[in-house]
Amino acid sequence: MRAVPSWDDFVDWVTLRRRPSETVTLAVLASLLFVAFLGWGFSSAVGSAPDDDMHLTSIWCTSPAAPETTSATGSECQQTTQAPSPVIIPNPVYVLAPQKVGRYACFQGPPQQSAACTKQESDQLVPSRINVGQYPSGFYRVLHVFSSSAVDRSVLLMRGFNALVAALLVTAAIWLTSGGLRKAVALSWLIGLMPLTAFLVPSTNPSSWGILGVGTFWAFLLRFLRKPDDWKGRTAGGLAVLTAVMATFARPEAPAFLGLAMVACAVFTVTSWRDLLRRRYWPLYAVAVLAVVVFFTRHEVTSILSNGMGTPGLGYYGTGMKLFDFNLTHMGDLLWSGNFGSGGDDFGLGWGEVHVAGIASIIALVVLIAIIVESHTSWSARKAIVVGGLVVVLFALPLYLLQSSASEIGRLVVPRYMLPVELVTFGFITLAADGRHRWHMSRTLAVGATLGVAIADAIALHTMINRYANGPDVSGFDLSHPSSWWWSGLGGPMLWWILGSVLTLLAAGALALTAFFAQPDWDA
Amino acid sequence: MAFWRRGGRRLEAGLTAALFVALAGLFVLWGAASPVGSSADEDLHLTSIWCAASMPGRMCEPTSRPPQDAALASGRQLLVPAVVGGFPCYKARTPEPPASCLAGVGTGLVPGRANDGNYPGAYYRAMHVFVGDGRHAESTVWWIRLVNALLGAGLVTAAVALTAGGLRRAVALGWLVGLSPLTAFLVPSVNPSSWLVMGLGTFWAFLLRFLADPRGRRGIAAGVLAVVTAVMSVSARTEAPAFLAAAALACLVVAPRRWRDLRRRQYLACYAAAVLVLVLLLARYGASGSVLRQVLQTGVGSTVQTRVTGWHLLLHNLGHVVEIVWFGLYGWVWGLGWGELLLPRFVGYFGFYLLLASAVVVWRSYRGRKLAAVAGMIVVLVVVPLYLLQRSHTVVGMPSVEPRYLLPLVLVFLGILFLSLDDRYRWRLPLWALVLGGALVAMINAVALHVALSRYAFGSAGGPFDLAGGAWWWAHGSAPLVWVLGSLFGIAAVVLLGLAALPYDAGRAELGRLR
Repeated sequence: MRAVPSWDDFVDWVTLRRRPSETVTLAVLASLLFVAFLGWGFSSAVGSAPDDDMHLTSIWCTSPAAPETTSATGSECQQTTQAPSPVIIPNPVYVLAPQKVGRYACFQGPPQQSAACTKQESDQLVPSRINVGQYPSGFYRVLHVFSSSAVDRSVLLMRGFNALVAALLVTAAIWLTSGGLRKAVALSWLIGLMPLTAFLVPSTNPSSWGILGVGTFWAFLLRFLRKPDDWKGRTAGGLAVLTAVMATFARPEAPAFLGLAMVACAVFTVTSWRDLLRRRYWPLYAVAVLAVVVFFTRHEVTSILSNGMGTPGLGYYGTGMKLFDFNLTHMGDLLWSGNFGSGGDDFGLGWGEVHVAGIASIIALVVLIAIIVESHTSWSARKAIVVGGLVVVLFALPLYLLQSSASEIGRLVVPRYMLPVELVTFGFITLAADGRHRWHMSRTLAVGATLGVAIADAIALHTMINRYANGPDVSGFDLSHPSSWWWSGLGGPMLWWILGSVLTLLAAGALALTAFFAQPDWDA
Repeated sequence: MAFWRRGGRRLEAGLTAALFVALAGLFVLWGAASPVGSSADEDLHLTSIWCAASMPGRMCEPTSRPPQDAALASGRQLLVPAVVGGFPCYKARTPEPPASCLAGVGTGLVPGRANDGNYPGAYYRAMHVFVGDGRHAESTVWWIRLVNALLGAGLVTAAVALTAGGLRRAVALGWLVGLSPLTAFLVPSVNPSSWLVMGLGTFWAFLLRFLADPRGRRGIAAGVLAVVTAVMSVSARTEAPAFLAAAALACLVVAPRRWRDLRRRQYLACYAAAVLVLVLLLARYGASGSVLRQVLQTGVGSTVQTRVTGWHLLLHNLGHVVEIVWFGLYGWVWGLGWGELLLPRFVGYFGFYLLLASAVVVWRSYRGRKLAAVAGMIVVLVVVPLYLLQRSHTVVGMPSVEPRYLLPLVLVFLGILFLSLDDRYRWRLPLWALVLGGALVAMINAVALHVALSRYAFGSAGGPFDLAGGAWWWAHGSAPLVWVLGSLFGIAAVVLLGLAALPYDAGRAELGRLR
């Protein structure tokens, strides 16, 4: 192949007649993922992700300073006995933080309005919620590096950083794997490129690292377990540790999900009982034991497991079979529609108020079903056990939490909690356990999946930008009238929607192509 | 997996016996899971059973006293014990109370409505033998339910044992998928639908077995049992002849392999039997004939009607008819018991997956005459309720067309669906599909049994998971025991029906291969 690709080469790649070189694929993939995530990250206002007031304050003030000391920028981050007015969500401790950082999002009101109100915010110090043990502090400490007095710019930098990390990690996972595993990784992120993922990964919410960490950890670990001896395997092992640490830094339940992924990977690769004693599994056991100990010594976890999650539900369905029936029959909202901002009044993007039309989740569901149908030859007993176990956890864990809290779906368990496990499940659904069960991904599926995911994301992105630019009461295709964009000098809402949608389409296409060309029989 | 064949005759006999025990246990325990008077219109059926022959004293004398509930004032009113006539006390109001109120029901005689021609009387006459002096209602009802449970188990086991190859698989799978909560509730009940469900649900199998090969002990036994089940069905409800005709027609469509088969001895015997039955019906049950004509003209009598008419009504019902035909078997819209025992909605969803899976797993055999028979059964299952709803001016959900009316036809439909009689209709049953489907059926059975016991133990408002603290309506046993045993027997029945469905030799799909 020539050093500089020609137009013919490009056409061949796009029409899937020639496999592009590895380096080109990876470079293009990384760049497209980065700019696509960047596009999503720039499409929502500061403070748009759930509990962002607390997360941003915790990033700016990595610990509540004692009242006697003063930080470098004055009395910032000092603990205060004042509470925000009004108190929307109570917290044990409040600190003083700049208004743009720590106030409960002005566009949430009540009443809800467009994000133009953020332009009126100042550097005035207000009482703000801060993390006092609800979340691990690692995520906040790392992002603290980007904090500065220019809040908007800092938040964009943090989102950009998370977008970059995500792009690099997903590309690394694809680079280090090959064949069916590479196809599975690429497809898991293609299906997983749901609006909620695309919204949360490039954001300042700890779920960013929670989803990214667990969603790539399984791939690195599986690659390591399959062949730990070559340099790619060892790198994969190292990156598995890195992503595990990232996830543990961010979400308190991460060790449990990481442990689940570890079990799934181990069951998928073990060939005999004696195999379990091999040296390559020992680090796994050590980490697993550590994770279990760390996880169960956290006070919140033990109390949640025994008492449920706190304020019970509305009580329309009681505590017994009627509640279980309601929750079980609405799990689809929690596990699928909620990731697209649909699923009734309870779920949505942003803080849960951005409701996207249900058609987006249906289109993506068709894509998922098509992939499952086309991969029907890849099923074996081992795969059925692993995927079955993951699906059981996806259903049983929220059901258990809701039933023990006497709560209906929509109130205490939200879609982003289970999203990391869903990404792992998507990966194993598209993976064959051994060479005998290969499945062939057709060109039609590659194209169709790309278009389906891109259309679903475009619909969600439009709804999201509309909510922040025009407020929740305005609907309509044109995002510019009336509009009030909150970044100054970075183009308007319509531009960002088109840009974001096109970039998502390209990123989805890159993932689909990567999956397609990873097959040894790609031209079959 | 020629499991049965490898083991020889003794293994097959043992497994047949085990299947009977499992099904009998399941049905008996479901019969124990509800108190006296629990099935729909049971006051009418019990009164008719009590008074099917003359009784001593004032019992069964006609009375002009009005019944306690105005809704039951139709037809003949006869004096019967208080627990027999009238609404059961645990259905008195909403939310329905638990069955503990039965202890307070008096021993006097009250008016009870009796069969006034809407039902054939033979079923009541048959069950009357258990009435005795008429004063021990619980014991009578228990014996009737026990006998019906054993009859049902016996007929299904006979259907499995007498058949072979593809037909046996169809019987086993048809009853496995058809073991819905409504089936398990109706078969061991006092309701005449019990005999119609078990009768029609096995009649098609016996008829097909007889048509395949009438020679030998098994062939003759199949023919005899086909007649027996037909007589049972006809003696139970007035629409039985129509349903039997539909089932027989479906069988005649799929059974013959060549046109000249239609002239064989067994087929001619069928035609003669059909003509004879027709003549007998017209002569003997002239009254029933007019009931059928009345139903065809004005539909099923309903206490409520809708103001929607014409095309709007038809289209609306068309969109909801699957709720009666399939979801109704799983306690949607119109529940178990008198209709008040609604099951959780997820049970209905799982039942729907079962139906979808059944329709998909046989996709290779959708051709020729089997496709015609399946399509014909679907048309019947849709047209019959739609027609009745339209004539009665009711929508789905109103107390007019109820799921238990269509259950017998659904069982026939399932049997025809799973059929594969020769090479042209071969389809492969994956083991994992059988295991998953069986697990689903067993789970649905356990959940439904618990909900049913809970309703009678604690009332419609619901209660805790532990059934021990609630009411109990028999002299022996307890609710938790019935639930645990019923779930276990359900699992056993599912496993044994699954085993019966397995040894289908895909190479030689001949019907009626004798051992």
